Amino acid sequence: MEKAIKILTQNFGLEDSHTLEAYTKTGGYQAVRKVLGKIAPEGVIEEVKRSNLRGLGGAGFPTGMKWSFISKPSKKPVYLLINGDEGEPGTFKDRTIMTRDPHRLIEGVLLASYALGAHTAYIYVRGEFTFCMEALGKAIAEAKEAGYLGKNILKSGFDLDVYIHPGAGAYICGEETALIESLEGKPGRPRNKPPFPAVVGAFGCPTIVNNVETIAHVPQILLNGAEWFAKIGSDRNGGTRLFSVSGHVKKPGVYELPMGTPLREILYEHAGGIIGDSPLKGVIPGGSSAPILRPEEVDVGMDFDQLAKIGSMGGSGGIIAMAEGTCMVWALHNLARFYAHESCGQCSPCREGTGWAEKVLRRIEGGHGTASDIELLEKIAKGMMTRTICPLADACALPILSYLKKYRDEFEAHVREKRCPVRPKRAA
Amino acid sequence: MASVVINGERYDVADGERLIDVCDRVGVYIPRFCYHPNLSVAGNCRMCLVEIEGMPKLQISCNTNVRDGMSVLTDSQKVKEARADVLEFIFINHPLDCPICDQAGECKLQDYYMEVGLYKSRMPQEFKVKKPRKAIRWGSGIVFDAERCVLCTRCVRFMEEVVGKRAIGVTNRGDHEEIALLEPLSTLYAGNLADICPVGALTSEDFRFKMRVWFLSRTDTICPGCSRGCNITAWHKDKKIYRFTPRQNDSVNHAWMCDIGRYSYKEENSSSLILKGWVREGSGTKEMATPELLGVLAQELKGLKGKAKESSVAALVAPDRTNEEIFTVCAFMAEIFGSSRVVLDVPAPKGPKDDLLLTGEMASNPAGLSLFAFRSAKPYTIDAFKQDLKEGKLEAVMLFGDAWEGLEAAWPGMQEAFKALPTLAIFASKRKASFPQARFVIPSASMIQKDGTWVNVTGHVQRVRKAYRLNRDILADGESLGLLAEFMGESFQVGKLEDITKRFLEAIGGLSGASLADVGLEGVSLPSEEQPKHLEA
Repeated sequence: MEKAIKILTQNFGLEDSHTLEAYTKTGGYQAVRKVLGKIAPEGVIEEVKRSNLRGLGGAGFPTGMKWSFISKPSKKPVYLLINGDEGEPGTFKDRTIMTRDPHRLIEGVLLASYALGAHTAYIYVRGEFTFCMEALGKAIAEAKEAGYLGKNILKSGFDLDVYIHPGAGAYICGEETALIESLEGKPGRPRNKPPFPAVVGAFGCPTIVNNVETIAHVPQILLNGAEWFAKIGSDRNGGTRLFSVSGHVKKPGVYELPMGTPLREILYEHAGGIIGDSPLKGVIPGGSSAPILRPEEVDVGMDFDQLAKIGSMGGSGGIIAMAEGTCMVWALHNLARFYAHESCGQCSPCREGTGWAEKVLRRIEGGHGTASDIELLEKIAKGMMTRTICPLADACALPILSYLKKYRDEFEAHVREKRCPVRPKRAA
Repeated sequence: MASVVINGERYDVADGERLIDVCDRVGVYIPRFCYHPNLSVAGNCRMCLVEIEGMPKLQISCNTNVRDGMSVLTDSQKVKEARADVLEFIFINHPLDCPICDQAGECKLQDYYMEVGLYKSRMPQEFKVKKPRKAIRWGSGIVFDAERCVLCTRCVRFMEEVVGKRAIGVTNRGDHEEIALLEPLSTLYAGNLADICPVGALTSEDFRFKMRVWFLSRTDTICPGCSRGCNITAWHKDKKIYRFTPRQNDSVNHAWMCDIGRYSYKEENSSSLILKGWVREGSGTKEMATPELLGVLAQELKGLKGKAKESSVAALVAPDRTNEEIFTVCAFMAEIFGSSRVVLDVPAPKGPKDDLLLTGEMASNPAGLSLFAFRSAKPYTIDAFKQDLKEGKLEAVMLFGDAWEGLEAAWPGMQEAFKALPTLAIFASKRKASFPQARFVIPSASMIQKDGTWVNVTGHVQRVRKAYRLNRDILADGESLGLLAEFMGESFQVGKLEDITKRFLEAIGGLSGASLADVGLEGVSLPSEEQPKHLEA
């Protein structure tokens, strides 16, 4: 196996990788020196566009294009928000960047702010991630001390302040407009669009929201060039991404691999295969919201477009493997319970639909389901899809539809046998 | 301008207008719970989804602004399915308590169920999340039923955006979400909450369980409470008003009214009204049928005619009479007595004033009165009247109206001053208005019993409508004056309401040529230079 390309995780092995010293020793803050005051902001956006960097929070939206939505010159201040609310079940990648290489993120924030003309950036960190906030806080202080943040950075005349904002524990605050609401001190409820955040975002000003991992890529793109980055990945999916592998694999963990790496390779080579060498029953490829894949589908290349082509999605890169012996109804009920709990309650279809689906699934898994429940479940999922303000309803509906399609016999067996045929009976 | 196609029909509308408003205007109804034209867009109920050409997903019409060339379908299969699905979601945790719900008959859930739903319940009762939390008194006349709430947040937005108070909020998440009172409502606008709630979650303590709405008749009229003249609907049955609710009119009151006006309907019901007139004889009073009463009054007035008739009789009009009544009284005085002694500068009673609707003038037509007074070069003022009264020049005085509290407040000892008058007749509707000194009390039609127009505080001419007449003794002032003239052996042609309105509008200027039909449901505004001047002081 050729030596794997590491961008985000290249320093993870170093002792004190979180310090400014370790980062600068390995080429850190070189991109800032190269860009600030020397390349025009438009040039930076152009470079990021050509690099095929995609939004790695889950939507996969081309980052450069997103940046170009800010109309310039803006009469109002522009804000850059970094989404570190990592809450998608099965995803645990952003935390590694924030704790092990926070300066890479800060340099990315600096470059992105320069490109956008933002002088204030907020890093919205999931409330539970106190350790991330601690590491980031130290890194911001270090960077400020060294003149990488604050007024007149590196004598370029560019000012930037970075603040950490702790979230309060709601999954929905990972959705960009809910994140903005939360940042403004309101309950995290997504906003109606239009207007989009690039026009009316935080505090009524133009705002760009980017994921931690996405922004952490920016320094190396500007240092090594867009072509270098684009070449690493697959077609229209530039660079690498962090795959969080969990579930029934021998070596769960975060793996940095080029976009488009086959799922089979990730599962069987990097993650060491299925525990006890059991056969694989199913795998979620991109966080809990992504439709499940059957074992025969694992040859797919892991990028946004190839996964979309087979009806799933790249999502947050959270891979959850399930070995034979997993009850799919139980697994789906687990997910539905999560979405029912996390629905913000704003839109009627999601508020009522997620809870309803959870109840029907609980009924089926408990052996109390009827044949009509399976159709009902399908109806509920279709009923809430694409009809809400934000994609949380879709995130609940898509897995339901995919499980029903791919493991229907198992649902039917539950109803027929009036019990869970897969999992051993719990002691009474 | 933008040209949009809605269900195949082309319409020319203003660019950027809200799609749901456009549809409302052209008569294409789109169901909605959360959207209200006078509140911000929440977009949470998802009932108003429509299909827009070129967009893969259905869009909510409340958050869509029309663009030129937009093509919209509001009745496609896709839209119908979406509506049925969304409605079912809203229903699953809603109780089936229509028979005991006061909203029944004016409930959006019921309406839409009949329109797009009609399915059997697939949600067993025991699975419902919302547990009965019923009849919680919120104060300020509002009762909350948590179980019935569809979380449209209209009430939250109303309190925040209209009243300016974060008194209502949403607690919890998902299907455990609930509307909650965060601080006491304590506002004079709480009654609107029951109106804007599309379901039976917020109901009016005053109205609930009094009457099913489908038994009530509706009359579109104007609130008599203050000089704002909020457009209202009076809901009545068997000659009894059960409630006032506001009517949308963006040039006057948007969709709101205050609680003072809202509950003033009680004063328009028979227990507060003069149902039969009387004449004071000695220390007692004698009830009489109105024509009889007018006959006695006519005899007394006829006696005056020989004397210096122009100077011995005067009339006062209160600021709650209609424009037509003001005009008629002045015409009567001029034609029968040749007198211009009609006092028109009677001040309105003072009351609460705020930035929203309440004007502080607690009478319905002070503007109409003052506009008509300004027309006269040499008005007969209240001070001149007082002087005449003091000097004993006056033999007979006729009072028209109910709103005398303002005059009384500005004129201490008013009742005493009237005492010496040989003849004092009052044409009033309300018991509280009958002067103890009045020799004649003649029942006059109250606002719900007559037609006419009022001018509001901003110079908006609006129409009051008659719903019923309580009995044959109650007459409109015009009718009474016609009879009175007849008994005096004179002729006084009152004329049709339409003509009087026209002549009144001509007299005050600014709206010459306008007719009662022009006033219509929405009213007409006087040009700015003609607007009531009494407010500038």
